[in-house]
Amino acid sequence: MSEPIITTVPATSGGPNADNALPWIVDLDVFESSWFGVFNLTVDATSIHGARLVSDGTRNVSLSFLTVLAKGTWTIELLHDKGPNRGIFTVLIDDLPVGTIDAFHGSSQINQRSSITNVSIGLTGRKTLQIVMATRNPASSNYVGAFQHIQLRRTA
Amino acid sequence: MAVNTETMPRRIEINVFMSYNNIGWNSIATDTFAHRRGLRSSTGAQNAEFSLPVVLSAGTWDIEIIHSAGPTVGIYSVLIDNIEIGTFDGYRTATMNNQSSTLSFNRLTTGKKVLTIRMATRNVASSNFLGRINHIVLRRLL
Repeated sequence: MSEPIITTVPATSGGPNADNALPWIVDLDVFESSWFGVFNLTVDATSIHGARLVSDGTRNVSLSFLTVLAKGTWTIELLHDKGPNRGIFTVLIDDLPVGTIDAFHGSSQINQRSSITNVSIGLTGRKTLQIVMATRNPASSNYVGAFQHIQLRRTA
Repeated sequence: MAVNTETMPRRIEINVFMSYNNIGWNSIATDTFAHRRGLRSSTGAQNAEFSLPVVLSAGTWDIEIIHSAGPTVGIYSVLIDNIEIGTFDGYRTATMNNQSSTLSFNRLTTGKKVLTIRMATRNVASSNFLGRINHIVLRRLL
């Protein structure tokens, strides 16, 4: 371990208030018990984080997280896999759809990152983020979702 | 509205595998020998970097970076709002996974800052400016 140094960072940003004191990055651990329906927590040496949370293919299974978000513009990013039987992730905040991500691919693709950008949060407060396997690409054979991580990043 | 900074997080974990703003440093891959089974690797170009927003309360902080050292790895420059708070050398004669390096710094004001990791320089013995990171954690000490 290198020797620590002490440096003073000048005050260049605005002072504290309720919004700029809240996190600009919110990480959600998908391996916690936040799902509804049948999911399997699968150890996988080929996946970053060493595991995936994989649904059983039943339509409308979901993940749900309570979190606090500051008002502003956010990006929601998923780390997941793609494959021939993967469904479409429908992302909702407080029951309102904010976008979808299609996880179908003709062959298995690990460690994929997909984002929904420009998600507007009008009021600071507690939100419910939900991801539902509601639909699928016509080429896909099932509604399976396989998750490794979810991150919300405020961009403005 | 004022904020009681004592209620703000004193520990911030950064998942380095997500798509942060970057210049030549967005590649992720599985690595079975790495903590969290993954590495975020730069292209090896000089001045490759990635940046992300962090909200820090006033105080003294540590930043600890878990990384993979080796003969092609450069020197990591750590910046907050584009001001360098320190560097550490990722060069080793052989690959050494899961190395820990820590820097400390003082934050005078509470608020959102931009944390940047940049591969600006290299040890004279290193053959490249490569950056390879597994994880970052910020801890407020005081």
